Amino acid sequence: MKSSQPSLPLTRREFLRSSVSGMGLLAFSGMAPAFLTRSIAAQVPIAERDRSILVLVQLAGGNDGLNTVIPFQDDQYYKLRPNIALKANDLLKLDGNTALHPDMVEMSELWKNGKLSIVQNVGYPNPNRSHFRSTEIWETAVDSNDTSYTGWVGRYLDATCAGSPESSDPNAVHIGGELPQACLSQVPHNIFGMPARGNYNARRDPSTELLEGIISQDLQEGNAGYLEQTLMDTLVTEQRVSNVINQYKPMAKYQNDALAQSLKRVAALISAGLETRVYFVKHGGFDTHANQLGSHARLLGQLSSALNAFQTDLEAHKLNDQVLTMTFSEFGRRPSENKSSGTDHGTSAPLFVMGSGVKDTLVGTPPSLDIEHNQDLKYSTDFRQVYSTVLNNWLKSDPTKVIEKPFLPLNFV
Amino acid sequence: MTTSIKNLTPRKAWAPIPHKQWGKDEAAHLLRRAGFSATPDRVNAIHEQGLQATLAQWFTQPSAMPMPKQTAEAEETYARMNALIRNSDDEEEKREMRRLQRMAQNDSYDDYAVRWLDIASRSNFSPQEKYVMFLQDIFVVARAKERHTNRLFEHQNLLRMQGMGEYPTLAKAVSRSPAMIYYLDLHRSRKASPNENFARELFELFTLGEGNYTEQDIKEAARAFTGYRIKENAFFMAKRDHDDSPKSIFGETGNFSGDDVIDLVYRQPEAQSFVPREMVLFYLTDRNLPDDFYRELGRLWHAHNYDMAYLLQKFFSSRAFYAPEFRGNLIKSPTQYYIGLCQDMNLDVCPLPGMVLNQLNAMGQPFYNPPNVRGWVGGRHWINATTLSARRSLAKRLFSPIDESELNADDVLRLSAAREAGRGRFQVTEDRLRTIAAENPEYIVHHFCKFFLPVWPTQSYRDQLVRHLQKPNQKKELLVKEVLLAILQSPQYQLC
Repeated sequence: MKSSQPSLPLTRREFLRSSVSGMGLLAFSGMAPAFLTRSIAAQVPIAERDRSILVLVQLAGGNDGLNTVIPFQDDQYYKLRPNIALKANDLLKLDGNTALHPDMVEMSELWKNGKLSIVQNVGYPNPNRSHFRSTEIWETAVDSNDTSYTGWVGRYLDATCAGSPESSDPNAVHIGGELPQACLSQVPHNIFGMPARGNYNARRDPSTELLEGIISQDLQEGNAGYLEQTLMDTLVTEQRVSNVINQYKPMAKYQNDALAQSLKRVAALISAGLETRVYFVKHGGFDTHANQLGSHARLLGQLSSALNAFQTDLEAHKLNDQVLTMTFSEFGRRPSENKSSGTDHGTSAPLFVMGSGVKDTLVGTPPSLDIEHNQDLKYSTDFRQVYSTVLNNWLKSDPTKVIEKPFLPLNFV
Repeated sequence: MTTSIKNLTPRKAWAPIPHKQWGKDEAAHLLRRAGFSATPDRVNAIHEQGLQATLAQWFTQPSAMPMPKQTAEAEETYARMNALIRNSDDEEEKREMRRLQRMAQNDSYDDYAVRWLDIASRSNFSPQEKYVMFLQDIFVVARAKERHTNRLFEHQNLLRMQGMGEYPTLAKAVSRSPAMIYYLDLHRSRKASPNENFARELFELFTLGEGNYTEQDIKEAARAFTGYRIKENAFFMAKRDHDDSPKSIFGETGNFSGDDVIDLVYRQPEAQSFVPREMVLFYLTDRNLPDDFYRELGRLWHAHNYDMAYLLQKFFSSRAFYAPEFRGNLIKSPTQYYIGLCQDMNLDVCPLPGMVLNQLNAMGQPFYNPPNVRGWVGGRHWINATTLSARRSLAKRLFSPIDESELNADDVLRLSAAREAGRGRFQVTEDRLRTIAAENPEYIVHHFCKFFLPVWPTQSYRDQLVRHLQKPNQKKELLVKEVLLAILQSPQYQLC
């Protein structure tokens, strides 16, 4: 490679400048691939490696918390669930009162090794039982009687990325499905999305080259500006990402389900040294209204296996110190089973935090089951306490810039 | 110049625009928002026809879409297999029957999807079918749960055929729509254990909106909708399962039926502004207007017995609709992007379901299959790196021929049937670009920008396209194609 080559447009600003002068990224034709291979080979500057990364795993549909983390000594648990209570003998016991679902073998090992923290009975005041509304509440992190366009990840990016030098790496990456509301922000950021599995290849042609040229310099307002920004970011990122994904050699066995494959992609991007701070993956199907035992076991088994593969892979790549993985679900389910051997929409539930840096492995208090038939659980930890802790202790960001009110931090990380 | 919304009172905002403000730009705006594209011939036609006459033509009498033959056949297959399954005790045989049932359902859904796209892409149907999409986004049913193509079709057709009438009547009909009954679990709601799902969505998503009812209202209303059943794909009232004892809803007590509940809803003032708000968000802007604008339109709508034809005509002729801040800044849905592209490029919808449906999925809007009961969120949610790439590859696809050697027998038949019906233009070929390629570069760029973009692009946007066309020693048609493709992929073309 010649040393006199023009520098490549790595930053958005450089990209813009080159576009304006009539030369898109492809004006550096032939070199884009070289730049990509080079950046992979070179990995990343040491400084970038100190960045902490958050991986969010959404358990969509409302995870049945009581059959995930089970208070197996509580008679009330069996009374509320004559048909779907899990048998005490089958459970993976963590201590004298608490056990994990039998299909969460890997996660119980992670817990015993101090790499998994369980935050118990997480919820919020005046709970909403609508899927999308409650998902919105979790993703926007506002009170349940309040609404917000922006999400908590988006506001985190607003607080930390504005004004700092821009790189061409996405600020956040979501895998599978639509853009999560958590990522919506005031200021546009580079949020990249890709499918959970299947081939992922970026191709170039003359019309794309021309397209790069016509994206205007002075960003427009509103939706036009949003489209321009997104398109620009996409053009720069997609080629880089597709190379990273296609060349990745995982050092753990990932199953074929969408969650495991999504996490494999996350591991690939992290090990390529992307500056991305937040990853968002989805594990769907938790809306278990009927005959839930089989399907819930399968979902938790997939979760356990996928999280373990991800953690193992990160450890093998010596990246485990950099990554914290957290689950969330829009709500837990009703403690009383329904008449179809399933459970209806409920309120609070436990969530999991995984990483080499977790401290306390059983956080908060378990829910009280001293309730009437069909009553709901009362949360003991607000999910915004969890977010504030992650923001403050892990992402090193001021939680008050992201979450409107102050919340008592926890000690899991 | 039309008047900015900032200078309009709610009362003035919904008054019709003055006749002299009805220009070609306004006609194009109406076509892009009420339909899928604004081709020059349509702009001229409706501009000449006049606003009121155009709206009266679009939104008075519905035009039917016939049930696709394959949809009806699939249901017959389903019923026949059911009978065989009942009479068989061979597990292997039963599995095979069920597989055939699923196959019939999948094939008929695919066929229905491309047939609907084909109808919606005909310019005389476009406004009606976009309005059907609007209603489907309120009275949501998703194919992920309801697998009977005939019920999906009947539900959509109900919205189509009754959607221009009175909204409360429509809501009552929807509560009897088998697809809806199944989608929101009404068929399992019994007097002894009422299921709240339908009652909740009726209030929250169909009529009133979040916050305008109590949990107790939902519980009581759920009792009024008990006993709704599906029998041979039609509504059936199971009297034994229906709870006809007194209920208290919105502070009134009586032996309310499901229909009574809907009548009660339409005595709540909040019900007046709900549909106007949905209409503004779907057709006009993804930013909310101040509440008094919705209240005013709702008041007018209420005074006209909640008639939807009235509301549509009022809305699309209003000063608010033509206000300058609402031009060319709404993000096209994937379906609009697809159909609009076909219309702008003067192409027919490709009748190959495998290809077309995958493209819609990749852009984030699988046919008749929104992610949940809320429907599509739309706006900026349509746009991310993944969906933008899918839009771009769709545009490119329209410029390359279909590889017919790879098609299966069904698809070969579909292609030849479409060609025989005179709907066989599936791609933009180079010879179709020959006439325009003979023009000078400035003219070509001006022409494309004017035809395809809802807002006039910047000087630098146009200059770069002109420079591309001036490249020496290259085939003109090829350069024109590249310019066209860049426009169709550009941010401006994603807007309407």
